[in-house]
Amino acid sequence: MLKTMFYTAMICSLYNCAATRIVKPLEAKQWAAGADLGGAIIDFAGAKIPLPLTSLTAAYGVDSQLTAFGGLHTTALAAGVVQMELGAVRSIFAQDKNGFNLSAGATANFMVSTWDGKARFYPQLDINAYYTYGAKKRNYVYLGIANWFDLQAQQAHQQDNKEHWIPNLALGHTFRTNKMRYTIETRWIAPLSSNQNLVVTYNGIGNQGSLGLFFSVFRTF
Amino acid sequence: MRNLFLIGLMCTFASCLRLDSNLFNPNETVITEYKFENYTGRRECAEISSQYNIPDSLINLVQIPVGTNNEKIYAVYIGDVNRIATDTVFLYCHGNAEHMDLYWNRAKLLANVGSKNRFGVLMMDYRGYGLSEGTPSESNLYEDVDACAQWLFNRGMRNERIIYYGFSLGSSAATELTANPRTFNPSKLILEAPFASAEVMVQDAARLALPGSFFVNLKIDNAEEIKKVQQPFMWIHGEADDFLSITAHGEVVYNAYQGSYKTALRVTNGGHSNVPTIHGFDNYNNAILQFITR
Repeated sequence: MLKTMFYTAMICSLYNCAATRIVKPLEAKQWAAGADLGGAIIDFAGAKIPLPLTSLTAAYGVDSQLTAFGGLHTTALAAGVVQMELGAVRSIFAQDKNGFNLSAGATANFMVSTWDGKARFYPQLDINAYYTYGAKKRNYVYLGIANWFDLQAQQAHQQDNKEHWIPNLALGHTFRTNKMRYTIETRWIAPLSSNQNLVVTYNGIGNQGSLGLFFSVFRTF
Repeated sequence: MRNLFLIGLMCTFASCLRLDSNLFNPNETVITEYKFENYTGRRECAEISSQYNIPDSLINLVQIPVGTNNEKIYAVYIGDVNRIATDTVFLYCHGNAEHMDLYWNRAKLLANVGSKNRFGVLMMDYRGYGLSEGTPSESNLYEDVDACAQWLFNRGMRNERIIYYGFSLGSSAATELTANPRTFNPSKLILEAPFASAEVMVQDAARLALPGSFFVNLKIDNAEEIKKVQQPFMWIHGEADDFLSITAHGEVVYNAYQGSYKTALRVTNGGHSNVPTIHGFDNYNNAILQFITR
């Protein structure tokens, strides 16, 4: 039973197993590398815990407004799927005085099966609003929406694919030191999709989607 | 050389999280013997009345060797073994959980379609289930069911009197062995709560149109295999099935069938495991009787 829950919940998490990679753009010419841990929330031994799925991120501040990043989903790799993402986040509104900021990101998600070479591409558009606070306004809380787009016209057996837009709502907090960045994020994955009558039991809200919990640690260079 | 090592390491690592084994959930309850009528653990169709009980004389627990290592699987034949050469028999392929005791009441129902103990029923525990030896896998599943078909064949069963019945996971074996006959070319096929394919299960869970190969190496594809089936086909599905939804799975299989005759029994408020209960045991049996005697 536990095995069932682990594996089935993993399915839903592979394509969404990281906190928002970059919310606040890096400084110009700055590098960052990080690791993510977390996933959909499952029932385990009577408690609800996030799946311990992992991914890696590298990011580079092209300038103070624009950060490019790449990610590798290590758990997907363990299932034989090379899943990578390449993206960029740009500051679109910054107000240092009171700390309210907006950023937008575009990401290309690539997945290739090492078993038969089948591949998928999912574009993703994110918008994040964040509020900086604390000494030098290093820390921030953020609220974001990540939008996945499924371009496939059909699902298996020539059935129409009726879900082309899969939004995810994220609420997170980042604590920063000089070199480190620690983030905790909760996410409501696919809130517009019913989680009923599926082979997977999701912990969503009102029978919709699935909740997830993620942690990330970054170091800047 | 180092690259080769890394590639090998990746391939090894990559194989460790495939979901194939997730299809099989044997023995959440460990048993040391089959109890059938006397089993007190969780069982399907628990509300069944004593009128469907099977006399001890018609309960035959058998062991059947399978595979190259002659692993031993268990099956139960409900009926008179000496009349297999003349009786009509259901080859019943159960679902993915537990063992034959869980499904015993379902087998009893089929034995009593039409009248008391009218039909023979052979139900088996696949490798790794119940007391059967070995490990479950897709290929073993087909091999195990066909080994049971062979057991019937050796006792005089022939194509025109054998009906394959697959429930849930068992729908894959029933469909595969009807579409690609081995021991028998069965006279009829009944599928209850079938799943469309491993790929649909993946897409159902992922909410994305992902290839099944992203997660499983399973080749199960009932929706495709059913296209080869020419025999009369009955599809049974609960409209409230919360595990294998009637629209994503059952309807896809039913619509793909291109054979000589098909009929559907859609059960209002029926879930994944309680269709006979919700529909009423007599109604369920009458529907099956109508199909097999048409």
